[in-house]
Amino acid sequence: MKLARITSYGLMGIKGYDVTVEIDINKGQPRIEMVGLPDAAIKESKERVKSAIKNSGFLFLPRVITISLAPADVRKEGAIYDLPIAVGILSATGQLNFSTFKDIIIVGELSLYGEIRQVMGVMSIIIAARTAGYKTIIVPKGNEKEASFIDGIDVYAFSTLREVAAFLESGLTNSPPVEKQNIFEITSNIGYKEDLKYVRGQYAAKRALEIAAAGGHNMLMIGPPGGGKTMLARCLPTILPDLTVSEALETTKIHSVAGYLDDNVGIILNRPFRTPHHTSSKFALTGGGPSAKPGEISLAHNGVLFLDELPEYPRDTLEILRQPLEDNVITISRAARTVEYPANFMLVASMNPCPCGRHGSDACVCNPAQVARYLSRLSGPLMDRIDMHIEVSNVSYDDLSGNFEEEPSEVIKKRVNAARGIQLHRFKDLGIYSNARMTNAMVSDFCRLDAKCESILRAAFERMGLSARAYNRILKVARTAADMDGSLDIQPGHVAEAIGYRTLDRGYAK
Amino acid sequence: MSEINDNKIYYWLSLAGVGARKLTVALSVFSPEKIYFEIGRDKALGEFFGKYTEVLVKSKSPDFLDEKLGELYKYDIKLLTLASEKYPHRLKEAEVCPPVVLYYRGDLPCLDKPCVAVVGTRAVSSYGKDAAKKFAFDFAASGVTVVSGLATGADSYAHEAAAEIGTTAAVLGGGHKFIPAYSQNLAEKLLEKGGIIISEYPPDFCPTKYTFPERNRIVSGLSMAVVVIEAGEKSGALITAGYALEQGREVYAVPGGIFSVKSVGSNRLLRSGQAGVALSAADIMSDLRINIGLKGQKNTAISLDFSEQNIYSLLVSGETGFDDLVLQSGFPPAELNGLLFSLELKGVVRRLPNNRYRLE
Repeated sequence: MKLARITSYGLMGIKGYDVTVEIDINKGQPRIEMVGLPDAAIKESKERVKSAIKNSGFLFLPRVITISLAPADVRKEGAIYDLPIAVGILSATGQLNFSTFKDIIIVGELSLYGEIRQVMGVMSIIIAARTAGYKTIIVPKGNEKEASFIDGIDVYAFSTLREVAAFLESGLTNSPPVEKQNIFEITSNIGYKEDLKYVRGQYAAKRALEIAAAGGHNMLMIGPPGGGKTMLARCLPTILPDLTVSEALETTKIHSVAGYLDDNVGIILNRPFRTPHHTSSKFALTGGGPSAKPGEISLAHNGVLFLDELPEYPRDTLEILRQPLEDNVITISRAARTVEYPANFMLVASMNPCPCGRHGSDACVCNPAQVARYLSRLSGPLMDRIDMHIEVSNVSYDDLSGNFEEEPSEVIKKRVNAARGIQLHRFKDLGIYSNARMTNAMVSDFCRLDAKCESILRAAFERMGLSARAYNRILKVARTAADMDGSLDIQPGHVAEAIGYRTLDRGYAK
Repeated sequence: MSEINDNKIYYWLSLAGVGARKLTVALSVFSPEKIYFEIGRDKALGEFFGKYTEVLVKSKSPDFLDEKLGELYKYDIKLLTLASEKYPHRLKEAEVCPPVVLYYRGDLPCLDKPCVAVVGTRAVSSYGKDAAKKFAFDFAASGVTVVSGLATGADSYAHEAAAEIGTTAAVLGGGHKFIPAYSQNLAEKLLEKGGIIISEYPPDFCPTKYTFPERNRIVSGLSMAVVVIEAGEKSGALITAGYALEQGREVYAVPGGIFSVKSVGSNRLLRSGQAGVALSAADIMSDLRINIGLKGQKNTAISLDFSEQNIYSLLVSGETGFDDLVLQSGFPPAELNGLLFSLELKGVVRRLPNNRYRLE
């Protein structure tokens, strides 16, 4: 046989598409031609493949080898096609006889020794292949874990080119497929170092954190340095509601594409908690680069994006968060491709109350104009998208030294899970998972107020000078407070509490 | 605009380039007309004014004076000279070293009312902010004009609170064109309410670090008494208090915490006996024999339920943090949030920065 055709897979963002690898062998001055818009990593593939074939005990015959990657008009990238190319060459040169390659997908990178190295994005590829109707896929051994969570498709994992060749020659019989694992059997919450039981006092902030976690509300914490804002934020993952299966798979896909997946676990079971530093570039946050990789906001998908010291971030970096906060996806356009990544994250930010950080105490040296200027670094449109602003105060020595233990995260998490359960039930046909994601129409449907609640809200607007933008935010947070209570209707107490979480609307700097 | 049409305005306007203290001495010896007509020729005048002679000669040219007048017209700034009958009478006293020319926007009559200065540091604490607002509001509600310096911090809070219910006067440390952007709204508001903004400097005069202390003498000079809200070790409010003492005005200081760096200066005034203790505007007005004609006070009965009374009783002892309220009351944080808010709506409790609460 002088021709071979192998099916492999490519990635467009977190979506997979099939790539046909064709090999044609001709006589002539030995050389390898590659077509189909390969990037540098693929062009180098011929050197790896040549050595890998030779060092696996096969012959690399001096021929004219033409390799085509179809579809020809899409730019391909990565070393993922090494293995299919090697298998194709072996097949085309008659060193490997098998007849079933039509329905098999092969992905993997080769080392010069003939070993198969793991690749990124395997979960996305397997899910896409399954959807496309493929029944069998060969992946690197290193991606075995990640692959084992997807059922409905037989996955085989190998560590050398020889093993793959033997497996194909045997007619897919000499090795069993990877055993499937059930996501539910993996325990989540493994290895959290933080726990709210170690945070003394801070009852107001803890309660706010609980509500934010339950409703998925974006939150801004304002407080003096050393008051425990970062500590509280780090505890947030320990009380966030459990990921649903579809959320877990979606998040894993993104981390797999970015190459951040832990290969020993193979899946993301805890809600991600991302803390990009304020020197991060715009593209580090949104994603981008020549190959349009996912950024921090996508890595935080279904989890938390924590921005410590919010006013320190460059303004244009913060402004780009506006669109993903609204749409929950980010579209990245590069010369080579346009990809879309999900970015449904909960924004948690912290900041000092004033430049010196001691606002409200006698030690503060800032005048009101300085405080106002500091707060004005946060643009209105961004603040519009934050449901809750809370103050985190300094803890006193008495609070720190007492010998009592606070409520552990586990207990709080149970309440949060219960409240999230109510929300999942409420929104089951609406395509959202939490109160924070309600559209205006949904707010007027699900957040009806009785006369007493109305009068409280009216009084708050009139007497405290709340801004109009606060209105829907308050209703959403009140809804979550009611869900925490298991209450069908929003009670006056819930509205009052929600209004309390609008610190900045109440003329904080005045 | 009657003063501006007055021919004599030229004499006074031409003198505006000379410092107030020098000018006060000069006017006790020479008449304004003499200075205007004979400067540059008269030997005695030349000796007296020294290096100022050249400035005076230059500033009496009609072109120069017309340009100045045009500028006043453009910014709607009026001009008042020491010779005018409308010149605020308290400011005329020699101890004050009255400015020869006053540039003002707004209504002069508010300065004929009893005036009290409310001054304090720019970096004001929340306590100072509340105190400034309370004193200024109470004074203004009784028909007293509150005088201050339109700086950020205590000054602004005083103007703001006073303008809500009465009149207030701002004395600038530079020309009218140099009102900072962040005070612009406040300035317009106080003018709207019948207040006045005064400066001894021409509109295009840029303030320097020397002019702010200078203007403080006008703040105290306009007033019957000066109330120092909060003053740190070296606050400008202490300079105002010093002028007030020289000018024979009453000085009061609001007592502050002994550990508060922002009250060091004002507490020292109290300790040295230079200032009286300011506990309420009413006390001060009775000291000054100002008739108290309160307006805008409302007293309605407030009813609290059992839980609210519980919180109220905890706050009676003073300012308390949220965590302590949780521990002392036994209410879960969620419920306490609601209770505190409803007390806040009833106007019983005030929320302070840092999750702290106190009674109104």
